[in-house]
Parts: sequence; C-alpha cells; structure tokens
Amino acid sequence: MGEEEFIKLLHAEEGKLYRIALAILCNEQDAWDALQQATERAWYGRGTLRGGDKAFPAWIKKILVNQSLNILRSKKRITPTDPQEMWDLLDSPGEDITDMGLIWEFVMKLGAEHRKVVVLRYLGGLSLKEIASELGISLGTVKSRLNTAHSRLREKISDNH
Amino acid sequence: MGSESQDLELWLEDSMQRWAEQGQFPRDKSIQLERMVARMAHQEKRRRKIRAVFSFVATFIACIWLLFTNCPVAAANYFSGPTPAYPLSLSILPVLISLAVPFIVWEKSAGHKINDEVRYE
Repeated sequence: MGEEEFIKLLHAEEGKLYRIALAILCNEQDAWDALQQATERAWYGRGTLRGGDKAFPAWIKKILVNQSLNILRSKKRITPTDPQEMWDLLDSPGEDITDMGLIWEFVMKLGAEHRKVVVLRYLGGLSLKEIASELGISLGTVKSRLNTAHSRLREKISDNH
Repeated sequence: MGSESQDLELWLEDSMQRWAEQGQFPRDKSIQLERMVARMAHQEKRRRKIRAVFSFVATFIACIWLLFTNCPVAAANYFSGPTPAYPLSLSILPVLISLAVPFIVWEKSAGHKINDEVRYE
C-alpha cells in the first residue's frame, strides 16, 4: 500500500477513530496521541494487513483500540477533559440526535467504570473476555457492569420518551 | 427478557457505531496526520536506499574476501603445491564484521519500534 492510498483510507476513518479514542480515554490530548501512535503502527505494519482496502477500517480500529488501552494502562489516572468540553468535542453539529446524540449523552452520564465497559464493548468491538483481560477485572464484573449500564440506559431512554 | 436485552445491545451497538462514524475531525489535525505519514514514507525510502547500499558493500566485501581466501586454496590444491598465505584475507574479515555489526544494530534501532502488545489481526 502506497502513501497516497494509505492517506486516503486514513482520511476516511480519522473522524471515527478520533471519536473512539476520545470515548475510551476521555481526554483530548491522549486521544490525539493514541490516534498518532495508531497511525504510525498502521503505517509500519501495513504489510500485515490482509483483505486489502475493505479490511482497513476494522484493522486500524483494532490498532487504535489496543493503543488506547495501552495508554489507559500506562496512565493509571487520566485527568478527564471537562464533561461539557468533552460533549462539545464529541457533538456533531446538525446530526440527527434522535438516537446517536442521545445515546452518547446517556453513555457520558454513566460512571467511569460502566462507561469504559460500554465503550469497549460497543465502540471498540471487544468481547467480554477481552474487556475483562484489558481492564484487569473478572468476567463476572464485566457482565455485572454491562447489565447495570443497560438498566441505567434503559431507564434514561424510557424517561426521555 | 433475553430478547429485549439483545435488542438493546443491537440498538446500542448500531447507534454508537453510527455516532462514531459521524465524527468530525479538526482539519489541522488531519493535515498533521498527513504530514506524519509523508515523513514516515520519506524515512522508509531513505532507509531502503541505505539498506541497499550497505547490502551492496557487504556483498562486495564478502566476494572479495572469498576470492582472496578461497582462490589461492583452490589453486594450490589444483597444482598440489603449498597454500600461500594471504594476510589480506585475515584483515578483511574484521572489516566485514565491523561493518556488519553497526549495520545490524542500526537496522534494529532505527525507524519504527512496533510494540509486541499490539495485535494487528
């Protein structure tokens, strides 16, 4: 894969990747670092990509999620960006908020531990076992946090309607 | 209950993925990423050139060394005479090693350092 092709594929994914990193790390600078490091790793590891251009989005997302998790592990205490600032960063002007904007608002209101599990599960695409291993908690705890998050989200959704 | 939970999971996954896809990315950051890739591509080309030059030099020295060490032996065997001593062959080997070692070290340390913890598949 050449430079131009790589840049083209990267531009198509960068917005999504940045949001995922922000959602996992809750810190603008760390999300930017994760994206840069993921880009570097993807560039040097592009020889290992199987499936061509079609496989690129899932492949680079996986690299980004791993990179974000590496940052999360290396910094035990990440200073989160101010919630309002975070919301401004993540909010897309003019987008249909019926589902998407609301869902993020709900997720943001979950506690940090529950939010991490939800984000890794539904944005990062990690299995429950992988989440447990990455966060250093038991599988039971992951299931319990996910169930609690579901209940809270369900409540918030029904309150909203 | 199980089906309801499954529906919620599907809805969550779908909504969050669509939400992520609509992410806006600052133009200046996008340009920075582009420059970063261009810089890495340039470095990669440079490294490839240096590697080619080093390989050529190493191969050339190895060939010369083999020529000076083996040809006299073959010639001496052919004529059943004594093997002549070639001090040059002994002096080339350390040169070859002293060129190869820094090159290997440079190859290992230069450029990217891929963390084994990252799983690409």
